[in-house]
Amino acid sequence: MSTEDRESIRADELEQALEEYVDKANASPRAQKTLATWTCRVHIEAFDADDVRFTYVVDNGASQPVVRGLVGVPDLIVRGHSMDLAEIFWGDANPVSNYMQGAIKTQGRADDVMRLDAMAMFVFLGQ
Amino acid sequence: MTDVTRADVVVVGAGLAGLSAARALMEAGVDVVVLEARDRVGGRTHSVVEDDGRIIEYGGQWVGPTQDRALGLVDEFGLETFTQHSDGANLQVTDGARLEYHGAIPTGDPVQAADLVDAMVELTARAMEIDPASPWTHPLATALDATTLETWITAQPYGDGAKGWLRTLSRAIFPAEPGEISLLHALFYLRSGGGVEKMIGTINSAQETRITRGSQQLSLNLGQLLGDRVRLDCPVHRIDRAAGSVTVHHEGGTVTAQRVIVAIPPVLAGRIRYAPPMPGERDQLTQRSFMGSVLKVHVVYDRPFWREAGLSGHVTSDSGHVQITFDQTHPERAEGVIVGFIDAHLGRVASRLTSEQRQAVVVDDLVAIFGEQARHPIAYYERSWIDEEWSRGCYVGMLTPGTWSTLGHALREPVGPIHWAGTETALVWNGYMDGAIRSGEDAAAAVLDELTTLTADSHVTTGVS
Repeated sequence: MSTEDRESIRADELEQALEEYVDKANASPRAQKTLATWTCRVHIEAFDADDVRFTYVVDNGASQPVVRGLVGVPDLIVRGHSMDLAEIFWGDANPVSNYMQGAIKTQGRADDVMRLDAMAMFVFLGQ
Repeated sequence: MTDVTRADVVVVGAGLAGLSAARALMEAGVDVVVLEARDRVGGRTHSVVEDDGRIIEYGGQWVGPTQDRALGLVDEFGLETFTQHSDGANLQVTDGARLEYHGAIPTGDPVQAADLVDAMVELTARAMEIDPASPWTHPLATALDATTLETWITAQPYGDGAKGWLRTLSRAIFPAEPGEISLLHALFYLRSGGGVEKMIGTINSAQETRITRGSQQLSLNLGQLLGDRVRLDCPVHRIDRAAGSVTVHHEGGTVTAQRVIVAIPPVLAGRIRYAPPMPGERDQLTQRSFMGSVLKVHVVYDRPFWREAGLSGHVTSDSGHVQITFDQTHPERAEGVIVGFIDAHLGRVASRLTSEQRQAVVVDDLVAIFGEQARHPIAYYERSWIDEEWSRGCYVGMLTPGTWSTLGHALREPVGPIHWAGTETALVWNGYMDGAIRSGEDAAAAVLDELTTLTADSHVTTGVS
């Protein structure tokens, strides 16, 4: 099945996944410890649905409520199929799996990419 | 009969760095000669096609995203590529226990995985603070250079499994024991490759793509462009320099030129005799440079049987000689191939064995990892890079602890008409094929600048407009 054939996630579903992700990230002791000083503005874009655009801000390790639309100048841009993005934000998928490394495209500084992956990893690992 | 040649520039070494430098100079209209000690081009890439068509990649073999110069040559020469096989589970073997995982970081043990994520965040964040052009300018350079990577690993609050995996990672990436390199060197190297994630994985990482007919095609194509400007079997043993000229002595004669680019690892550059001698700091630097230790093996089976078990063939292990493997199966052939790396001190230990003894221990290692199906390979190939006279190690040369912070500036600084290239001098993808190409092109650009200035000065002096 090609990427284009896959079912897309609606914007409100992905928003809910992101909100759950924010809660999990803020509750993760490892994320809070490792990423305590990290501040980053992330734009999240699904390439299969025009209206699936979110801005996610981490301020000194604390994930802020997700905002619809692309707001401000991003430090990181994350693009992927809405289903893959949702799988990561639900904590169901390993963000550094071979599949996700190929499916999700990130644009930004390597240390920001690493920290974003780390946050998703801590959520995925339940740590 | 001794050959006496004159050229504008002479390049020492026909690896990717030297060939890239020579190509850039040739295209700028400069008369260039390349002297290569071996009977082939390619340096630390060497792709051998067996009689039955099997391709053995004895040296560097992968290219990946952001390695734009290497990928540029792949495109330019129209070389076919294929994606490194990564379907299936990777294996982490710890104390004989096998844990499956997918992706760059072992996740079989969540606590250990979190430790590794911590380590990768820390190393990547610190690496991004390093200026690859001048690591010694970091505010903590002296302290970072006085701390070995092993000291750093030991001091972390991680479990033994994570620490063991980080040590294996050090052997695989650098490839050196973590006690042999400083934290500053490790951070510099990680910085040049764009961070740990970009360097250790397959997909969207440095091990993503292979060249179908072998990575040496890059050098063979460059060599073809350069034609008889490349002279093989010409080891260089002495370089004399005078005001505005150099004379390079090789086994077949001499080449006199305005500039020389020495495109070989620093430790080998230090074995050339220079007259007048190198400045003390440059020689002290080469005294403190050493090559990585790698023994690379190909083990061929009638089919890639590990795939039937859902395995990718990529293994990291803390025991045995072979601690890193990948699936080396060629897409055009039915047989299955595991490529294994015996890195760092294990590579040196293994070099004491006979080839037959090494094959036996390698197969034992693969049996321990993949089971009895690995017992009977149909072919075995190996290359001990530390025993290669014109490399003396692989994949890359490094500096001992304390050297970057005190002598690092002498790594790239020209000495009169002598310029330096080689992947060790690269600012981006240092240690990789891409870095070698970049270093050669950078050195060529610097030489062209000087030659242009010389020409302009000469015109002023002689009144020629």
